[in-house]
Amino acid sequence: MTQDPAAETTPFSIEQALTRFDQLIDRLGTTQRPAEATPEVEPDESNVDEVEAGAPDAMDEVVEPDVEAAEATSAVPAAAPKASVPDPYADAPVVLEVSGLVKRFGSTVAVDGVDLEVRAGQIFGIVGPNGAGKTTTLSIVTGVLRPDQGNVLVGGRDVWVEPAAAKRDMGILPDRLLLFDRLTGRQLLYYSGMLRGLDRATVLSRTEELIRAFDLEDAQDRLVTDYSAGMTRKVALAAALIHSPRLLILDEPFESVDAVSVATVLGILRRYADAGGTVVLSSHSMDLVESVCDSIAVVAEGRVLTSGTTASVRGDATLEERFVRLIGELQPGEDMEWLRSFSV
Amino acid sequence: MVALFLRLRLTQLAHALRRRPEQLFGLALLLGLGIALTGYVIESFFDPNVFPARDAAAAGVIVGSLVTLGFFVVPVVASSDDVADPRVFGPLGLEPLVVARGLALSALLSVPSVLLIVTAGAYFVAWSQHPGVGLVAFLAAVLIVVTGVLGARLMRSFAALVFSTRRLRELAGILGVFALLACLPFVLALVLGMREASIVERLGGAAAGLGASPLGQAWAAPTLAAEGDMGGAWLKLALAALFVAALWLLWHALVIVMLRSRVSADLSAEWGGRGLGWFDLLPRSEAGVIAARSLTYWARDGRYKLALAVIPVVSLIVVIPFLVVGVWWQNLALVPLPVACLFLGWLLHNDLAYDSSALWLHVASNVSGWADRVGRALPVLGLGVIVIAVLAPISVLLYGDWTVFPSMLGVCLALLLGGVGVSSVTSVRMPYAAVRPGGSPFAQPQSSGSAAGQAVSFFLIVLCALPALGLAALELAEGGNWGMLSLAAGAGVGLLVLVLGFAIGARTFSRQAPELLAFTLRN
Repeated sequence: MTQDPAAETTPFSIEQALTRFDQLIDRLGTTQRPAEATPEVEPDESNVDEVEAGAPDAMDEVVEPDVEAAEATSAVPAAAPKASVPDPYADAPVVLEVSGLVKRFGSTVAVDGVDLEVRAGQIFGIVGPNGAGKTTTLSIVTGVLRPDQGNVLVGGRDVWVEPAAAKRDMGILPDRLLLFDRLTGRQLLYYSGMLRGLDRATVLSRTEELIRAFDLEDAQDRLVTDYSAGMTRKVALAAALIHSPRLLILDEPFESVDAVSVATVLGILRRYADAGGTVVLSSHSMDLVESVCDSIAVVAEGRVLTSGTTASVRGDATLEERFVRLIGELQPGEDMEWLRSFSV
Repeated sequence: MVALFLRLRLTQLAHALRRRPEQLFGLALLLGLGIALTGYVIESFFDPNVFPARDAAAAGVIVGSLVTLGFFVVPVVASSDDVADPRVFGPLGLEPLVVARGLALSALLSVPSVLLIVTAGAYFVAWSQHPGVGLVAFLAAVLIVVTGVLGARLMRSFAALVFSTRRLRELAGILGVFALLACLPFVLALVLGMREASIVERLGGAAAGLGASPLGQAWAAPTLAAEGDMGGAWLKLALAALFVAALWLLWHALVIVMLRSRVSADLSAEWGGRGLGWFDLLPRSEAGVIAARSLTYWARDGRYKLALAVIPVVSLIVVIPFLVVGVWWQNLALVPLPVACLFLGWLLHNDLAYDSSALWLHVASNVSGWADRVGRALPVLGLGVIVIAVLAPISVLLYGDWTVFPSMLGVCLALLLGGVGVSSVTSVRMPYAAVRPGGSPFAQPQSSGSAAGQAVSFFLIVLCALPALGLAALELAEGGNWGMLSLAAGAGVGLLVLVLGFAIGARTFSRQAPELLAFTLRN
């Protein structure tokens, strides 16, 4: 039995999913979107285009990282200093503010004074090597792990002081935590929505729309435990969206998700950000982060090495080169002479 | 080719020993049990008390038929993964006959088969002492072994084919528990009535019946020969051989079918029903959906199902020791229901750990502690109230004196309400490592720290019920108004503990939710 009929109908399902999600975003936007973001939310496509067209050129390059754009970037004078790259989000309100975050597990320091500032309407990527403290940071931000020091403000409210208000604004997709996977996909979405305090009618209609947008129709009545890894990721993401949060925190959202679904989900996230939502995602895939994220923070050994718009962080190289250089300064490679003198 | 199958089987046996020490200990225990059982069976063949040939025949046929029956039934119930599933050989393109023969022969190499061979050997030795029975007894022993081994092999693969979906297997498991419960009275009656004289005659009748059935024909053949009925003995042997032939044909046909059918890739996929299930029925509040989620898990998660299935068994089993020491059964009719209530309340005491890290959803959604506690308790309370409402009158009816009804209600309410209240606190205060979702309910969790929560909650629940129990005891002893007082005390203390437990549990949950999640993550 083929589990994923989307494989044959790829072009259509993506198109359809995106259109449906447009409608969904519109609806979510009109119910709970705060006043300052409302002007950006308009039901028709043309308006979104307008917003993009009106943005500075630099943003176009960031948003649409096609071949041409990439060439254009590399054509920028090699010594482009960071300050000269304009930050199109400089005026947007700060949605997430993290300051002085510290978390220790026994003698190891997982997070060692992380500061972050994420402004509204963008996709913000946190990249770093394995064990850099990405998951720990995001767990603290979402109010799931208690920090030893530091503050997390979501929309100006401290997650650890006013959890109810701060958590309402957040949708989260944790990494490596289980779901209530003995529920069917549809039950899980309904459960998530009801726990968020929505009324039943809203939850039911949003569940339907999310199932369609994420192409889960065939799987909606099967237990989540029987889903493939990618499908589990998708249903978890849908559950994170159901209460129309202002801020989405996604930990490794594309782990083991197939290329088609990544494209679908990226489309959804992009439209969500264009409508005024904010996405913070962590990943260790440089290419993906470089092509998707508007701003980036590079994290290693529990600290933020650098952060800013993708263009400014990347500078004149690719993000991967820049990343390797940054990390390399931090962790000089061992010589391992013996590896070259092969034993006979 | 057959040698290859046998070597494969030996390798499997060797690998079965590559386990952790505690699992090996469990295996050794099972093996010891099997050997002891075999010893008892063999001893019954040589028992000098029943040596008058007729009684020995009855005992032999009955015990033997039970042994053969075990070989047919146990493989169906004990459904571990069959490494020698004929379907595994499908891709190799072997002849069905080769696979059938190889697997049937390799089935001889298993602990139960070896024990059966020993048993049959002993049966042969016991009966060949009679003059002229040797050949018949030998052939009978061979047929006994072949019937048992082939029957077990057939039933195991048959069960694998029929119970191919998870739901069916689970259903079969639950039906099995009920069947066991239904058997209990018969076994009790048999044990209790053993000393009566008429039992020997009845056993003789049972032996005759079993000896005529396919299960007992081989066992009955030497007994007939010993009585001098050689014709009857050879007829029994022929019929037993015919049965073996039928088994072989069935096995061969099953192998042909199974070689063709591939193990479906979607074997585990389960249809969850189209609607929202319990979510449609329960209140549309936070506590309501949490209750619906719990109920859904009761029906779908083996860990909860095992716990629920064990409760009636345990409540009945506690009665047995009293019966054995001679307490009149009507007095014991009052015991099972309170025990069931005790375990129902206790069921919740580690509920949070059962969620494992999925608990993050409650933490991230900022579910209020009150909603979480009440939501998880609602299904237990609902089930408990139903159980009390149905079984309390029945228990008292069996006891035969309606004056104990109020104190019965008092004790049950104290245990149920108090138990839920206590468990609501201990599940957030003293959680301990639980089996992960999807794990076998019999498995041990990887890190099992102190399980003090178990003992503490059990002790506290009993403590809650002490006032009601004391007053109930007074009522049993003296009669009078003590019963109504027991009801009032039980309901009052139960409700108080319930509300207090919810309040304390809710407070702890709200404050400690991230720490609780961190706890589930460590396990």
